[in-house]
Amino acid sequence: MKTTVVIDPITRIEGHLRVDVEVEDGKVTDARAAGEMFRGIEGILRGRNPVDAQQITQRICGVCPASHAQAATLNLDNAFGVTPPENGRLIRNLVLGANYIQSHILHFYHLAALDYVDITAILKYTGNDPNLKRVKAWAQAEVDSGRATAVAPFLPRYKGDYIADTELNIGAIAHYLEALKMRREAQEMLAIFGGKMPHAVAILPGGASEKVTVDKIVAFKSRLRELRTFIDTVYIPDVLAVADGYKQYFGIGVGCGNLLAYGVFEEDVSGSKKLFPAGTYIDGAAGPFSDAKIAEYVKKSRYSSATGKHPSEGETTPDERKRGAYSWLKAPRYDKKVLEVGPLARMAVAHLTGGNDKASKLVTDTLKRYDAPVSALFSVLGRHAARALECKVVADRCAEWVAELKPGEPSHAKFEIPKEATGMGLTEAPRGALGHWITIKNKKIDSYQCVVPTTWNASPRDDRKQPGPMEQALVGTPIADPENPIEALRVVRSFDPCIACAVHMVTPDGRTLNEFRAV
Amino acid sequence: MAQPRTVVMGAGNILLKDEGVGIHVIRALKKDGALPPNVEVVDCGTAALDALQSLADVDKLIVVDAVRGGDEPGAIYRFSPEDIFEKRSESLSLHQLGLLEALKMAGMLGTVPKEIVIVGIQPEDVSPGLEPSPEIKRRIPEAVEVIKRLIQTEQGECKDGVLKRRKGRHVARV
Repeated sequence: MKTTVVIDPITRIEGHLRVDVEVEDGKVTDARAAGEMFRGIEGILRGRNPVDAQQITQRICGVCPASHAQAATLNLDNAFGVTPPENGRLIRNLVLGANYIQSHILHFYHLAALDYVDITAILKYTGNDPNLKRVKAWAQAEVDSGRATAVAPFLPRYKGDYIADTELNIGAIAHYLEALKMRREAQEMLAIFGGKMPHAVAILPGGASEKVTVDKIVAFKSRLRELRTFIDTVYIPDVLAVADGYKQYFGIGVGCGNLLAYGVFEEDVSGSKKLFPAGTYIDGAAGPFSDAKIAEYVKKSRYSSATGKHPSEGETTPDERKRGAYSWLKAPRYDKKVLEVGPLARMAVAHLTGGNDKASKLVTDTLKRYDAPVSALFSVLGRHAARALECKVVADRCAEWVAELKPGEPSHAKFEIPKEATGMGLTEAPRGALGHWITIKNKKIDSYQCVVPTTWNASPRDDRKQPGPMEQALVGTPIADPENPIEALRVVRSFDPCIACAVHMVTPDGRTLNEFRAV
Repeated sequence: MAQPRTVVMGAGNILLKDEGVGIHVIRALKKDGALPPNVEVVDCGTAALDALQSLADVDKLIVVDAVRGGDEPGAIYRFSPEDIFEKRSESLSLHQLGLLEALKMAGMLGTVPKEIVIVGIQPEDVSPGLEPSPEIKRRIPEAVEVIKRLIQTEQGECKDGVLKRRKGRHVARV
């Protein structure tokens, strides 16, 4: 008996994603992921001043604007032929590092944990913690109101095997609240050198515009200290606690088994050495990365533009009625193969290529704790663990970068906009490999292309009918109740998909959910 | 009595023409100048939750955003979060932590400004583009005037008697 289960829209991810899974005998046998919006950034940028790309591309996403700022400035550095001074490099790392910390904390506590933690346990709380008491009162008032939107965004939810222990749940809810505060700390930390948040203004071609002062260094350090304590004593232990309770998820959501990292966090101004190295892991072997092997396929995507193009030559011509197409995402491939991007790819590539000793040690120790082989990383829990451990590697390294800043030294190098040039900016957003490509003609943008992490991970089938990483990861997932496919949701969520950035609006007249809709 | 601390927050995505009308309105409000010192203008883009978290000690929050009320493009609405929470027939926009979820979560955290007014503008065109459509652009000064009046009203005045039932819908046309 075959059932098709549609999960649409997927809750608590940043954007609109629809997943169709076919379930047979309690297992997923096939899956299709469809990004529901259209990417139009390229058309918006044509004809503008190249420097605008930094500000405009940040607006793609409210969660990881700093990553787009970073990709855009690396892209422009490359096109303008400018190298930032040491302070500029460090500030960029600190701003992006702060963005990683907030994004990873947001993902685990505010998006993913609610698939495991029973939020309704708060109603049974009998202790005296003022914050928990307030949440209990709020939840009770919401439930009593009987409103359609009561207790949103926590309810409605799928029925499923949530944590049963009230104490554990209450503890997790307390951490959920603490994590909200920590995210704010991280955002404020970002704003110290980023100028403001969201949409940092201070990362520019040639470096950064904020001056380095002792005051800023002190303010950054004190917030970072708090965040590092939280990561070490709350975040990582909580991820491990979830893993302890759901060990079967080390074997669920395996996926394509191939990884791609562009590398991120420049360790010298030339960009030749990075905290997380560039590299690939294909068919069980670690290897180098070359951007020339990237191509985007559109056979199953709603575009009439040419298929199999390198992003620098990419076009984006929407074709809403294209036959056989089911997604607004293109299908990026590397050497025609399907590769997964994200914290797992960065940590595993660092570990397998020996490119980062600290990352290696954390990965090895965690695998040892579960007596698990390296292959266990390719799983729902492997992704969550990699994300949490990466958060620690980044936060610890930020403490060293901030100490290397030199007050009074320049953080910016002058640049000239060339008449004609091309550029490429490769970095990593919290969710994975992010690339921007530019062609400049007559000092104006002639073409601009972005390939974002979720386009890799949530991509549809390509011209060779190969399903994307998330589609592959879903196959084999056990589904206890097709009415409540929480297991599939856990797999999807482990990728931390962000469709807002991969795509934009699809129907100009949108579904009116109600008499008011804040679109 | 001290002046109430007021924040005018523009929300939306400026890459999608009228979807960014909230941002375009607050930019016009800033350009207009002459805002009293107790008023701060914030561009939160699509990061409503982050913005709300830092608004715990605000007395009055005026949110400006594109809102589908179903009237002609450029129609200006004014309502409170409760109006939406009461009326929605299905759960909130499920696909991201949008403005309404953010308001809910702020409620849970106890970091909600004392008074929240939402000023909504009916969009016409939300396809990719950095400029609002002509009709929406034309109505921006009107929205700015509405906000300036809201800044000056005493607490409570915004909420009284602005909701009218029309065609079975609660709309608060300004």
